[in-house]
Amino acid sequence: MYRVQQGDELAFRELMNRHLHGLHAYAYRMCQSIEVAEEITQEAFLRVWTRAKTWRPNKVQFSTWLYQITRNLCIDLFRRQKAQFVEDVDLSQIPDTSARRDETLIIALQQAVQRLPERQRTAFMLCQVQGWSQIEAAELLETTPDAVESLLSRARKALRKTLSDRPGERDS
Amino acid sequence: MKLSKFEELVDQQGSNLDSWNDDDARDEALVLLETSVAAQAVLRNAQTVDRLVPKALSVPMPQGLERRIMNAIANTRPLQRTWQRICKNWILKPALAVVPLALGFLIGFSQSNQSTIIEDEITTVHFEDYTEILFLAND
Repeated sequence: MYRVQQGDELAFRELMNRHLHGLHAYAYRMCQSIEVAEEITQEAFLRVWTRAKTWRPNKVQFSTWLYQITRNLCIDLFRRQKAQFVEDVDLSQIPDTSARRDETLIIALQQAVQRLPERQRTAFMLCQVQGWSQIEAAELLETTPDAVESLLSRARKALRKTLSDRPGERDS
Repeated sequence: MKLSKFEELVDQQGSNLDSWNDDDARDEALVLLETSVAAQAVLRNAQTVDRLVPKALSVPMPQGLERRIMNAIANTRPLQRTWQRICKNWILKPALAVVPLALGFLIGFSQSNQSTIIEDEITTVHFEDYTEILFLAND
């Protein structure tokens, strides 16, 4: 990162390759749109390049800073669009045969994840899916690890309720 | 263990009871699971979430994104940007702040000139009145 601050493109490429997949995955999971996720990822790395000198290593880890930029871009986008990226599918229209059961549940889960409040969604994505520690997520969300645990717990509860509210799941 | 407590622990510590950090809570949960259909459903749903979330949140690989990012930064230099920011924050913004101040001075001074003219006129009028009084007194 010090080399990037001096304008070293090769160092930037190395840094980008190290974080590109994880960052793009986070952006995609936050907004569920290929085009938007790519746009956000590109803008995040562009900001890293142009604002490299504003990063303070003694204040925040680089990865946390990078994800903070991305998260802010996602939040800005949510505010601008004020709409869900994933259109709700009427699951009752999909025949709930055993062969299609998982497929239906996956759609239900995708919808439920999109409906989670932003902080719960971020905590869930990073800790449950991308393997971040609660301490790392707490740094990103500017809160305590205990608060992250609470966010995770509420997110898991909401997703579990999505399944338990489905007639087939309740009866099985 | 009550069902509500079991639900709370499943949400906090996950659907894999072996990973729970409280052995006593795990033993109590296992006892509850033997008798409670509702507790079994809670655990089954939590396990289904854990199993399907990776599929539900799978990510398509970006095509050519790295190249696009490198193209985007090709003509942008961090140092140039820093200087632009310094110019903007330390020169342009203060300069813009000075504009209304200068306008204020201009308006203020122009008004003070007008008031001087008015004061001069009043003085003249008073002087004329005084002259008339003197004439009357002499008459």
